[in-house]
Amino acid sequence: MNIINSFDSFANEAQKFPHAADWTSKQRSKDLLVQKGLPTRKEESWRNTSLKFLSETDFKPVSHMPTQLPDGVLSLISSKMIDGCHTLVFLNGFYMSGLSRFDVTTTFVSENTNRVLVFQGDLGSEAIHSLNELYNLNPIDLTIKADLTQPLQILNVTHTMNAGAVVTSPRVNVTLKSNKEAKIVLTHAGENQARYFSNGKFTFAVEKDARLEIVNDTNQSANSYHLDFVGIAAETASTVRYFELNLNAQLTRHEFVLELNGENIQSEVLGASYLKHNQHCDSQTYINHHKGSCRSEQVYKALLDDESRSVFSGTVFIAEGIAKTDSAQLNQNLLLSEKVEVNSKPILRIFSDDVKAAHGSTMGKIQEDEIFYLQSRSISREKAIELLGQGFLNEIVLRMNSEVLKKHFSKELLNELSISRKSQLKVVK
Amino acid sequence: MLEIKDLKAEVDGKEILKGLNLKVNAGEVHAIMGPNGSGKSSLSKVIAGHPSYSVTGGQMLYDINFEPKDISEMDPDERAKEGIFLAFQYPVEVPGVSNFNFLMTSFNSILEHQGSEPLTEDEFRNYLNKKMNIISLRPDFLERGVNSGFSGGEKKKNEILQMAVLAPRLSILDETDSGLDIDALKVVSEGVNKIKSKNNAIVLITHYQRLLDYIKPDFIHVLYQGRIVKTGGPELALELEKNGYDGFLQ
Amino acid sequence: MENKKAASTGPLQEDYAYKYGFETQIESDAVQKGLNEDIIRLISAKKEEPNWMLEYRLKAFRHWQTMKEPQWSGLKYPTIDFQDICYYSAPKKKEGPKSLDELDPELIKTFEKLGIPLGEQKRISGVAVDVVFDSVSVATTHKEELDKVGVVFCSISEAIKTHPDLVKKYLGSIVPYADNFYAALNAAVFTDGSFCYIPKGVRCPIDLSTYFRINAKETGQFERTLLIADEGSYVNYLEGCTAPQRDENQLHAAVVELIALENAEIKYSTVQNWYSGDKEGRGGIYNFVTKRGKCAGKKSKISWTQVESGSSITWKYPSVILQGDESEGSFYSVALTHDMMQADTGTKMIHIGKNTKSTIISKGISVDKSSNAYRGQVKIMPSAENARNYSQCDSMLVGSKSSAHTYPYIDVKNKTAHIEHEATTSRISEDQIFYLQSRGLNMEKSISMLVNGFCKDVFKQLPLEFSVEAVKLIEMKLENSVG
Repeated sequence: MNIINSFDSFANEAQKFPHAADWTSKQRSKDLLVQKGLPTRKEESWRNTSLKFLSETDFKPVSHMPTQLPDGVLSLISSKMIDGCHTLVFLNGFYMSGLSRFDVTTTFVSENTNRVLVFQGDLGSEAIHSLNELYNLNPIDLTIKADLTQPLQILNVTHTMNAGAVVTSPRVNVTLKSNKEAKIVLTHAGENQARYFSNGKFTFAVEKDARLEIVNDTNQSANSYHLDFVGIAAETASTVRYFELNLNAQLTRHEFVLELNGENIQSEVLGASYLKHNQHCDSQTYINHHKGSCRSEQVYKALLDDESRSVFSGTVFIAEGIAKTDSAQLNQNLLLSEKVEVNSKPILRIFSDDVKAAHGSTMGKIQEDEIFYLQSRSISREKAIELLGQGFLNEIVLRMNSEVLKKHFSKELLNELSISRKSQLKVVK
Repeated sequence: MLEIKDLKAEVDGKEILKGLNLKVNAGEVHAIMGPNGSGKSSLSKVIAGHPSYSVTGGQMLYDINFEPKDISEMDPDERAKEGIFLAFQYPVEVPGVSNFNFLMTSFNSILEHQGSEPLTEDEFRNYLNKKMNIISLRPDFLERGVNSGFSGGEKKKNEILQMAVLAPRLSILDETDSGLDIDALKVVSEGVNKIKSKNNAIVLITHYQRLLDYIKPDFIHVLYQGRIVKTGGPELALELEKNGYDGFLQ
Repeated sequence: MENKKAASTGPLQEDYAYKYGFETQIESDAVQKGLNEDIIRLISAKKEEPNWMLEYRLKAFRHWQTMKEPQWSGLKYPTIDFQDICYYSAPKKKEGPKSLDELDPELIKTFEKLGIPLGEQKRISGVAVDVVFDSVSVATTHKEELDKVGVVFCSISEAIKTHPDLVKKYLGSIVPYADNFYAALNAAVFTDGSFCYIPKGVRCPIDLSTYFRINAKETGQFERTLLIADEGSYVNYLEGCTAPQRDENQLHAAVVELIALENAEIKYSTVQNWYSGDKEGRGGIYNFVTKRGKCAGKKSKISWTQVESGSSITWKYPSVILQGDESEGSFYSVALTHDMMQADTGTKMIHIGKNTKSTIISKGISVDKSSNAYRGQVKIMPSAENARNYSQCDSMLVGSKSSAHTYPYIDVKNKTAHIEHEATTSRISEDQIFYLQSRGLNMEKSISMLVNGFCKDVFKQLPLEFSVEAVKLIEMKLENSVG
């Protein structure tokens, strides 16, 4: 059975529970999916990433909120909560109020805004959106009406409930009200070593003068498949800072869309990936300048080890007739091992002459002079490579404004690197 | 402490050192001077073990556990652990790695090599605070990336701080005075003078006599075309200052 | 069938935007419009080709019929009716001209107007020229001089007869007919083009040049160029093109193949100035070209330099396959588009050999409502130890309705690779214009000076005469559109 055909039994099962789902719309999505199929590598935007895993494993959609929590779920969740944050817990796509932890006096409310946001992202990925639509049963709309003093963590945990491979489809829409400030972390995690498929969709409306910082932290099971869509629609004079961190998952594919719908928006889109084993990480980003006087800066860095592969495709679009656009984009790849592969495609599509737009892409190994400098300070070659790799990615993390998050993710990155590099050394010896 | 005998070395197939001899004892300060391209910086890199240079002849004998040992085949970090320190002419930027983390990793590598327990973060911070008195750096220095966004002067000061922290036996300062204004030069020199002791040795590599006004050498060597062509006392520097290398080499 | 038409445009006027827009009145020998196996047999027969050549064409044609016109470039143009094109047109001749002086005086006059004197007395010294008029090569100069050192430089039709072994061995070896839609079409119907062979160790004493002219109406030009540089040889090759000004579009689908053996070096420069259509985008040449070179031998070098200033649509990616160890490929390009022109150009550098090196410098200038895209690929195969690439792709926008696009693909499968890609897009700064104006230059002059500065890195790769011509060409184009 493939992931689309699972729909009928899923619908039967799910309808036994009181979900507020629109089954006609879901049926329509299914028909569309059956008709069009999933993207193949013939699609330009999928030329470097294969969805073959969907035909190899039968990922079962989760039809209801778990009634009983198996051992390990609670400890998994608490281990992924970041100290100093409000945390909303989603388990297999369902919001778990009892497990969530936040200050009741804070002012974010769940309300259906019915706001329609338009995102001009990857046309080749519509089927992936339909797949999320098909299987999400608990979409949440959050509105942030006051400044958040602590970061808000949206923790998406996947647990197979000892019942084989699952697909989870979280869906969260956030609205940050005018002139308010918030830092939001999307954490994607799951049971160690478990095989599952996570396909989330997250949208953010950033109103006039609001300031939003988002960290999208993919640190899933090493056997998991992670697809997500993050869309941000920004209005006049807002500030948007987006961090994408990729530390673990067998296969990751992000579709990120930033719509600059007003003037004077300041935006930064930053990525740091540490890829090892045969991990595959694909970041498709779209930064669309629809209005003038906006600034967008993008830096995506990947550190590649073992037989990993990094795919970057970043499109910057600058609409006709807008003035004073300033856009910079950089993709940097550091290659640590013989068998890594990198595909980089920085694209500029510019329809207006009053612009300053630049992009760059680099690929190479660590410079011998840098290693020598560290070695001349008694640090072994292996350790020097680890430190330099860490520094390379940590530069991104250090740009976070929240001290809590900066500290948390610097440490997470360091741990990941030292664990992985150490285990590799053992294998070599 | 260090005895270099008939050392020959090349880079990219080109011979740079052509039979160089040098002897340095504990407690001594040596200055190596010479025109551009004479091989001064190359010598410092060869002693520290830069991978681009290969030793094609001769010996570099360095006392390890009171026994002279040829270090030509040792990795750069092994040499550093034995107390050889090179202050770089162009210190490398390592953004994203904090100075604190860098110094602690470096320091603990040496302790580990000596069979001692590594220091904890707090212990090291205490130790570091004492050393920070030797040379003044900006307050957020420890949290910043190594040399990242530093001015030329700050980078050189950082090299001297590292020297103070790691307490090497043999320090080679490669053109540490280049690009420094007079105030920074004083600060750096004072730092070096504080670190200097009867147990360690310092080799200054410099193009100008200026640095030697602040750090007094015991010996001056003139390096020309890959060989030391003259050795003398401090008066040699003044002679060079007056007549230039050209006058001297004729 | 004979084709004798009055000129559709008036006599050449100096102040006219496109000074090569005149039509030559000359009787031509053309086949009827349309494309089928009979037409291909007819073309082959007219050219008195051996059977293997006809077989090759038919194979290509059969394959072409299974292919679809490519859509990926995003270029906008009406569907081409391939049956509404004439695939063969040649100036009618009574007897084959024995020497260049016997050429039809109309032809000689035409090329003199274009600045390419063919007569023995007047020919350009230092450059041997092969002239292609519509479908056929009409003249090649400097033959004796080349014969002396053993350089073969002639039309490809002639080479098929005189050097069948070389043609058989290399034709389609770099660009196979199945490579793409237009390469297949070209392989089926190509009518002429230049052939060049530089023997072992020979440094070609003079520059070689081909000049292409489309004259007849509703005729496609499908030329084929094959250039082989044997071990240790060197050649500098120049190519120029123009066409009359017409309201309907004409198709130009050429294929160029270069082979550089061990230690050989080929420098290939193009100044493309096909008619680009009028201000509303009517007419102009569709320039759909496949150009590819292979550095087959160790330490071989291929360099493409192009100045693309004409054609209503340009679609070309001169590429280099770096197979030999230590081989080097480079691509230097200036593409200027104005009015409604569309250009989609770039290169592919495929690194296979060890220590291979490639350089890409691309400068796009979009004026008016035109659209200019750089599309390129740098591919480092696992075998390519220590490959190096440096790419710089800059765009300049002149006019708020113009657009510039950059689509670089960088695919790396070897960690020892070192790749740097940079691109910038900007308009001419007002400060710069103001500065020049305050020194007495007018607006147009200021812009063209700044644009020339922007393109300098590419122009300096061109041979001197070409470089001067390119600078003038860009100035003229800018003055006509910016003014």
